[in-house]
Amino acid sequence: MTVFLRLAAILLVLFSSVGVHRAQQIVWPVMEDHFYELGRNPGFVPRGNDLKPFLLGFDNFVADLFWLRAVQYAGGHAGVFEFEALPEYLELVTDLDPHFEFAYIFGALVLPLSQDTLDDVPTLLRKGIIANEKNNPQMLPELYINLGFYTYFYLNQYDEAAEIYETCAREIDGCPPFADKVAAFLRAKAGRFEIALNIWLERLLKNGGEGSEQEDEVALRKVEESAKMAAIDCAAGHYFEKNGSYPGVLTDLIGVGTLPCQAFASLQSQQLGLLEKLDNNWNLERISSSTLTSSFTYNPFVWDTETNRLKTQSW
Amino acid sequence: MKTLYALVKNTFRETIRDRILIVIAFFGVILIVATQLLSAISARQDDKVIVDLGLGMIDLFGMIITIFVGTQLIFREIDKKTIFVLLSKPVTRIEFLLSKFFGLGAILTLITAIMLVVFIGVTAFSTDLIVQNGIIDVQFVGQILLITLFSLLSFLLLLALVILFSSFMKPMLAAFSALTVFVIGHITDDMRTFAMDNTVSPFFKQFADAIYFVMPNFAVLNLKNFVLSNVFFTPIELLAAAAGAVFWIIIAVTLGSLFFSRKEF
Repeated sequence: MTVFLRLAAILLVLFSSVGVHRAQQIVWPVMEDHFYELGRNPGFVPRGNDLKPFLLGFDNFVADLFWLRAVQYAGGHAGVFEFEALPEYLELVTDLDPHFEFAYIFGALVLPLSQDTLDDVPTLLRKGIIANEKNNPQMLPELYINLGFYTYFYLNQYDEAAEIYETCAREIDGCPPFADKVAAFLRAKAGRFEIALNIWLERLLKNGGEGSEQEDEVALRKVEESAKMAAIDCAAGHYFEKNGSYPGVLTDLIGVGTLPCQAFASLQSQQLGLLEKLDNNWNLERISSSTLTSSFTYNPFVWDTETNRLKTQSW
Repeated sequence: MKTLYALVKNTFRETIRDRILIVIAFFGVILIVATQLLSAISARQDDKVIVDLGLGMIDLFGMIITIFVGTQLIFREIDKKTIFVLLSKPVTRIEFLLSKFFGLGAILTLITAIMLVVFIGVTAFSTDLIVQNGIIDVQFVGQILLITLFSLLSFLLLLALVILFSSFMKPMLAAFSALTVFVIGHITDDMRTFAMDNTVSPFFKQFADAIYFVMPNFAVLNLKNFVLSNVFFTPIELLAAAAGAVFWIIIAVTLGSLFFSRKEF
């Protein structure tokens, strides 16, 4: 009798495990949208928004507990630079506590260290921006700066990164004063010298001579560089129209007319006025040897024959 | 009034000697102190972890005390038959019930104050949030006091519900019922938002609306999730939330008195 009972118990356990496995196969596809996939494994941690109603107001409390878990996870995987489950942990933490600034920043710093999680950064940072733009705008500068840096440094998308920095400088209170400088730098790096010129002129006009001497000097130097590069870029366009090919070396451009050019059309009258005032010695209308070399300790311009674009050494 | 005061004093003295209460409050205090240990593994988020977990502990242990001690208040008097001695004297049933509410309410206030003092001590000791360069951050301390005051209001509301259900139910059932109302009171906001945001049946929308208005709203008393976030509430919002809680406390205690005055032992 005992033997039969034991056999029955073993069979029951076996059937139960098969049953549980089968049930999981049936139930999981229905439920998976409500649970996190922690790394490659389906996890049994419910999604933040599904979990929230059951926390009875202890959202931050639970978010912090998951935050501690996320930090331990990141620390445990730092040696191999694999953070498969980290995006889910951070998503959960920020779902529960959308004002948890460092969770976003931590994600922006750690996730790009692994190729697998590199793409999760913008989603996380943009989520932070959306969640905080109305009622917690103090957090926004940090999120914008990190998003801009990620777009520039990891994606090499200079124009997009510059746009993020420009939005920060233009629309976000408390955005660090370097944001528009970085934007100008990135615009120049992307070959959009006219926008860089625009930003530097704007900066000079905004300061109205009240910026520090060093700041104004830098801005003036950058205006000159951007204006010259915009002019040279423009001249390269004229050269192409005339000859059907781009110049082999920069000096081929000497004497080629630059204006009128789209590069300067976007400037406001105030900015143009300021540029004309500063332009006395630069010969922007016709590229001369002095345009290419004057007042610089080294020539900052390089013509990239591969991309047929002007490149700069100084930026 | 004199009778009520004497009864409240008696409830206070009797309850403060309760071992369950002392054990729960002791653990509450210990865990608030222990948040300091967790902050060490928080990747420089000590401030946030200590504040969130500390305020969470105050809330959690306040709730536990309300439920565990609150459900025993009336039941114990009936079980030990001391209620007959009391009610044979010139004490009305309403006074008896009110004394239970105010007595435990005073204890909850005391314990919340003790936990708050410990929490402020731990926070001041381990972070710069309270004292910065020798100056007390009045705004932060004010924020903490306000959050704790609203937590206390939610304990009192929960206590009123516990007393309401205890007036005609057994302790376990009363605790379960009060907890159910507490849970619903926390999700009515979410349910209403869900009903408004999604394409749901008109019946569900009306149901969500109805639940929102006929259930006490505990979610609006929960301010602790906004600490350190720079999200501020207007005085009108705060007053409305507090007034709503007081309204529901009065309703629950009045209903409890009504049921209790008709109860047969």
